[in-house]
This record gives sequence, C-alpha cells and structure tokens, in this order.
Amino acid sequence: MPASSITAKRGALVLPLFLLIITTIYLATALQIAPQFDEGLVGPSFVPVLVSILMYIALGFVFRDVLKAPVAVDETISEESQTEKPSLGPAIKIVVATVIYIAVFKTLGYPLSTFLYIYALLFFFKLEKTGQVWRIAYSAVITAVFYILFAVIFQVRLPMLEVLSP
Amino acid sequence: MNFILEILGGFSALASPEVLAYMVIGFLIGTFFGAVPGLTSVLAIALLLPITYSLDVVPALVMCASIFMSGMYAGSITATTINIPGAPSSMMTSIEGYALMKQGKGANALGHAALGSMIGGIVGALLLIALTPIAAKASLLIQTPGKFSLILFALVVIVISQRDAIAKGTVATLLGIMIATIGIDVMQPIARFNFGTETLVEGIDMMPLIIGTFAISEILYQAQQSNDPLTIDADTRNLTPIRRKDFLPSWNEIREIGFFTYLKSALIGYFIGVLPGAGGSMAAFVSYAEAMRKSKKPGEYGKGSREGIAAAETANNSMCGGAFVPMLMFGIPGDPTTAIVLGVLIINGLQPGPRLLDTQLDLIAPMFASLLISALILIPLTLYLLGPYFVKIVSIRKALLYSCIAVVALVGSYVATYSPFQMMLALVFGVLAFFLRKQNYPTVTLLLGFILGPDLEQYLRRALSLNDGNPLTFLTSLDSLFFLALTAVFFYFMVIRVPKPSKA
Repeated sequence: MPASSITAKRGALVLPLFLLIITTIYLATALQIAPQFDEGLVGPSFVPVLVSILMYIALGFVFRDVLKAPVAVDETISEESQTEKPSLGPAIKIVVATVIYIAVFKTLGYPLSTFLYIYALLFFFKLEKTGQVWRIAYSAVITAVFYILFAVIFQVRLPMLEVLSP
Repeated sequence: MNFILEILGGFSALASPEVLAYMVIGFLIGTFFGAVPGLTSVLAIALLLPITYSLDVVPALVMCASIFMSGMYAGSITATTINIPGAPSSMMTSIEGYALMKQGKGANALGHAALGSMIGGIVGALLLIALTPIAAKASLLIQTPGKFSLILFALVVIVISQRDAIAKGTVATLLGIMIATIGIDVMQPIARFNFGTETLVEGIDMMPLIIGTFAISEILYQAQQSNDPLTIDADTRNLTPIRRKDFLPSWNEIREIGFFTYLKSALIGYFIGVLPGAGGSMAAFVSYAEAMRKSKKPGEYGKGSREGIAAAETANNSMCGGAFVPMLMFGIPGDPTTAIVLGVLIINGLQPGPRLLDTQLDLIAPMFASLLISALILIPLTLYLLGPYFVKIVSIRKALLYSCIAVVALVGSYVATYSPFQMMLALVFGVLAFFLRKQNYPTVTLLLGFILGPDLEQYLRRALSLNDGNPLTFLTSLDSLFFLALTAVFFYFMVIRVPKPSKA
C-alpha cells in the first residue's frame, strides 16, 4: 500500500475517532443524569443512551468503510492532490482571525473590528492584484454597507468603541 | 370558504409596498445566490435568519418564499451559460442548456428554463394551497405513537437518500440529535449536558447551528479551494452575447415539449418535494429521466434537448410548493431550505401543525402568495430585465463575496442575543461542519437531526410512558404501523433492492 493512501486513510479516521470520543463523553454524562421524577425506563437519559448506542454502531460502519476502501481510489486522489492539493492553511488562518474578531468585537466595537477582520479576510482570500489602497477602501466600504444594513435599516444596536459611543 | 378568503388576503398583503419590496429583494438575493456556483438559496435564507429578528413575520416569510423560488430557478443560469450549475438541482439543466449555449442558442435555453420554472412554480404553489387543508385534516388523525413513527420515517428517508453515505448520514443525524439534547429536558425540568455552565442550560439555539453549518463552513471550504483566487469562475469574455428577443421560446418548441410533459414534471417535482430530505436535485433527476424515457426524440438528450431542460426545471421549482407541506403541517422539513424557514417560523413564535391554518393563516397566506407571484411574474420579469447580464454574475471577486458573507454571518449571530457567545457557537459549528463536509458527511442531515430530535424524543417517551414502557404500542396503533410500514417499504426499495452499479 503506498504511503500516500495510508496517510489518506489515517486522515479519514481522525473525524470518526473524534466523534467516538465525543460519544463516549456524551454517554458517560447521560448515565449520570438524575431524573426529577421517576418515568420508569424512559427518563431523561433514555434517548441520549439510545442515541449513543446507535452512534457507536454507525461509527462502526464508518470505520469499516474507511478501512475497506480500495487503495486504487486513494492513489487516484493522491495523484490528483499532488497537483491541486487543497491546503488547510487558509481555513486555519480564517478560523484564527474569526476567533480574534469575536474576542475583540465588543471591546473594539463593530466599525474597527469589522474593518480589520475584512482586511484580513481579503488577504486570506488572496485579493492580491489589488493595491493596499483598494484593499483598505473595500474593507471600509463593506464595513459601512453592513453597518447601514444592521444599525440603520434594521435598528440593531451594534457595539462601538467607547470613545465613539455617545 | 374562510380558507379561500384568507388566501386571497395573502395576495392583498403583497400589495403593501413594504412587503412587496421584501419579496422583490428576496427574489433578487435568491437569484444571485442561486446563480453563483457555491452559493445556494439555503445559504441566502440562513444569512437572512438573524435579520428576521428585526423583521415582522409576514415580510420575513414572504422573503424566504421568494428566495426559495428564485434560488431554485437561478441555478439554471450558470448551468446554461458556463456549464457550472449554480445549484445542485440544475445539474440536468447544465447537460442540455450548455449544449444549446455552444450552438449559440443560450438565450433560448434560458427561456425554456425560465418557462419550465414558471410553470413548475405555479403548479407547485397551487397544489400547496389546494392540498394544505387536506394535509392539515390528515395530521389531526395522527396520535402520539404515530407522530414518533412519522418523524422516524422522515429521518430514515433523509438518511437513506444519501445513497453512498448512509453510515455517514446516520452519524451526522445522530450528532444533530445529540446537539439537540443539550439544555432543558423535553419532559422534565432538568438541564442535560450543560457541563456545569449556565450558558448551555437553555440549550443550543438553531441560528448559530444554521449559520455555522451553511455559512461559516462554506467560507472555510471556499478558502481552501484557493486555485482561483480572483473570481468565482471562468473567463466569460468569449461567450455568445445573450439578447432579450431570443429568450421567448417559440410556440412550436413548446408544443413539441408538450403540455403533458410540463404537467407530469410538475407533479413529480411536487410529490418528491413532499418527501422529507429528497429536495430539488432528486426532483430534477427523476423528472428528467422520466421525460427521456418517454421522449419522442431521446437522441437529442445530452446534445441540447429543450424537453430535458423543461422537465428538470419544472420539477425542481414545483418541488418548492411540495416541500412546504410536511414542514407546515408536521414540522418536518422537506428539504434544507424549508428546514431554515421552519426556524423563521419558530423564531417568530409560530408552531407548525394543523392549528397553524386555523389561527395564523393570515401570517402564512402571504408566503403562499409570494411563491405563486415569484413564479408567475418575477421569474419571467427577471429574465427579461436582467437576462443579458446574467453571465456577469460569475465575474464577482471571491474575496469580496466571502468577506461580505462572513460579516453577515457573524454579526447576524450576534444580533439574536447581543452576545459574542452565539458568534463563537456559530464558528464552532462551522468548523465541525467544514470537517464533516471534507469527509463527505452530509451536513443537511445534521441540521434535520437537530430540528427533529426534540420531537422524536418527546413523542417516543410520551408514547412509552402512556403504555407502561411497552414498545408494542408502535405496532398496535394503526397510524404508527402505517408509517413504520412505509419506512420499511422505502428502506427496501432504496437500500436493499437498489440496483447495484455494474462493474466495468
């Protein structure tokens, strides 16, 4: 079996493994639920336990499918992916930028935080053939357009930087 | 009689300039999202969801209906002009439409797609109006065990519709049910799975899940596909120009397709729409295959068959009307779009079910009217006014588009509770949905599991409690037995007896 297909299979096993762990934590928590009053078998933990058992069975089928997947398919994918391999890099950068945006959204206020967030997104989405001035202008325009949409048209109270607040 | 008057009242509600404006704006948004490859009407309505907090229920529902109708139709635009279906339901249209485009008959193909969409949309909306009261009466006959079996039927059909990924579909559905169990129990006043935090006691709101699953995950997915950084797609400079006068299909072409083909396709689309989880793609595919099977000119298929375009587009737009029936009467969405419309209903305090027609028909009727008017007037009008510019839609810069979507999604999540926690939840679900999509897990089943999970649990526990925990109640209750038998029939035909692909 080529190394690339082993890597692909490992990659495909990560998510079901993660879900297996989540299900185990979920089941352990479900078994500790204390009902307010006795409903017999069908108390508050009944469906969560049932769902956990079904999840284990379904994940078993997923593991089987991943492990039984033909190597040839993996080879094809890996050959294609050598030329057009989608990278996780941009997605990770966007997640990090979004976490920062959410963290500073209330502190910095909508206008500044959104402007910086859009500026970063334009960079991650490779708006490359555009100069800095255009990128700044796009960020400012998008920030303003959605400010008008939310705050002016739909009367939503958006957070503002303290010095800008009335 | 009262029902008819209320429906007519729905049409008069559209005469209000505000409601009319929302319908037209919704239609244009749906056209844009439907036409741009990668964007869908589901995403458009998902982004609209937070805004519905600031809107009255009538404009919100009217807008949802027009987005749904236009999104389904607009998929045919890029399918025809650049051979990339704007929506999965336009896959069949791209086969025939693009073939006509290459022959210099792109405008004619767009005209047939619009005509089919218009007829399908009208028939679907009329059937919705006509059959909803019957469905409401039928839903009154279903008792608690039957309600459980009906939801089980819906979930099983949704999962087995994922032909090549039934195990993954099951995992995603169960994950949705697991997420739905977080918060206060459906029968007892105790919190479950809150892990000691107060923020989870009230459970997970539908909005961050929808925004995360459909908007954030799409942004991450598109960021990963960075081969074409500048535009959504394609060099459109060398395409044959599209002229307005060529849009109108000739009478001979329409006669050749035949009135019966339109009607049959519309009925196929409508009844596939009623099935949970089937959606526009299946409607278009089944109708296209049926039209090809009965065609007098099967040789034209694949080389630019107008009949194929008509069959596919009539069916996928007719599906819109059908998908509303189970959602409005049973709270079971027929497809992802109606799942989000269900969210709009719930946010606005409307509870699906037969009482909806008795007590709140005045709020629902404008939505029916919007579906009909969108199909009857806005589809041909949009084609005529904007048709020559359709091809430009794909020239929009990806970076600008997805930056806008990110802002609407995140700020929209904040709007619901004025809490960044909702934004963070949307991001978490977005990342989860992104990895699920990467591994070919259907995220739609995750959403439907989340929506249907609480009712499934409630009816299961209630039915068992009322019968001393005896599960035989599901077999002795006739309505329940009917749905269990129906589940078995669907499972048999879609999983066990499904023809295996021949090995080359």
